[in-house]
Amino acid sequence: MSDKSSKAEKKNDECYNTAAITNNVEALEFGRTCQSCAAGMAAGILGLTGFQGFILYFISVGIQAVIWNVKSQGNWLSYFPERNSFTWSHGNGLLTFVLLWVFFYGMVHVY
Amino acid sequence: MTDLLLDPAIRTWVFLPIVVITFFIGILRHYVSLLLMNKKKVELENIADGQYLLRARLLRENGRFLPKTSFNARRQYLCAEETGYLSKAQQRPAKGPNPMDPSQMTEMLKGNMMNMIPMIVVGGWINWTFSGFVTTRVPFPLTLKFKAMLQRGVDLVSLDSAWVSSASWYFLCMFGLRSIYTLVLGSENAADQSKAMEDQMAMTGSAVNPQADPRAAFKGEWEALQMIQHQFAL
Repeated sequence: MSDKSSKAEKKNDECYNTAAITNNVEALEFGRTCQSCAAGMAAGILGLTGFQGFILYFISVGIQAVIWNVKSQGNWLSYFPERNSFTWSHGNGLLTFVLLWVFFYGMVHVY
Repeated sequence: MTDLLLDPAIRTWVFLPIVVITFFIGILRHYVSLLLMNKKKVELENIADGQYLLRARLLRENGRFLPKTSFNARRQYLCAEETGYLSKAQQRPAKGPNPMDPSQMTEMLKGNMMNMIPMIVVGGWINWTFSGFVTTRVPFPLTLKFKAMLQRGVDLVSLDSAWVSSASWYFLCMFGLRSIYTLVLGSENAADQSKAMEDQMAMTGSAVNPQADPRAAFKGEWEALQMIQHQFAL
């Protein structure tokens, strides 16, 4: 209950520190890119094709979301305005993932 | 699994070099732009304007925690007819950014050069040197619509649409490396061609009102501050 009211207050007062938010968002972006790189490499080297690769990507997203939530001690909203940890920046993440997946798949399995 | 065998030499001399070249061109672009672009000079007046506006907004939002006299004193300081900063700023003569200013012209020219030279020279060179190779295969099935996108420069009707030609591989790298540049160079990098293109498009779109008139912002803030009904919250 208190959590809810404080959330509402936060939205009204805009008492987020913009510099801190920018820094947090950068950290998230960094984490997302690293995660999609790692997942892409793994998928390419393992030679996953089709949906299996995307499933691997989303598994890694899930793992990362759990890690983020642990890191923020369950208090996601005190670090970020409103996004939730599962739907963060999938555009860039998927692009990176697909690039590395294609690259490593090509290097290892096509030739 | 692969119905088409590719020469491993293609991997060594086409597939890998495209990735490496695209990546290092991006890095080079970043450092060259650091070299050429001088930092935007910020004028003292603009900073003062921004800070005063911020201050007025904070007073408006959090003024209810101040006693009435303190609130009124601050409001008076900001909005007084003759001496308040917000009122004075409204009377200032307009001075929009001058588009014919030579220093800005050179900046714009430099920016355009930074976009165009890598685009034309490197893109053209890659297309010319590495044209006509089938380089790799995407590990997921794609529909025929993707053939035009992924097989530029290779016009084979019977080729499965999952195969990627060298020219398209270059474009794929160009777009996909964006977040990796962020990883390597930090978030304020200039390596990214695709982003630069977007910026340019946004710039041409917003050319009609290049910079919002600060006087309008001051007027709005002044009015809002005049209108507010002070109510002590504590």
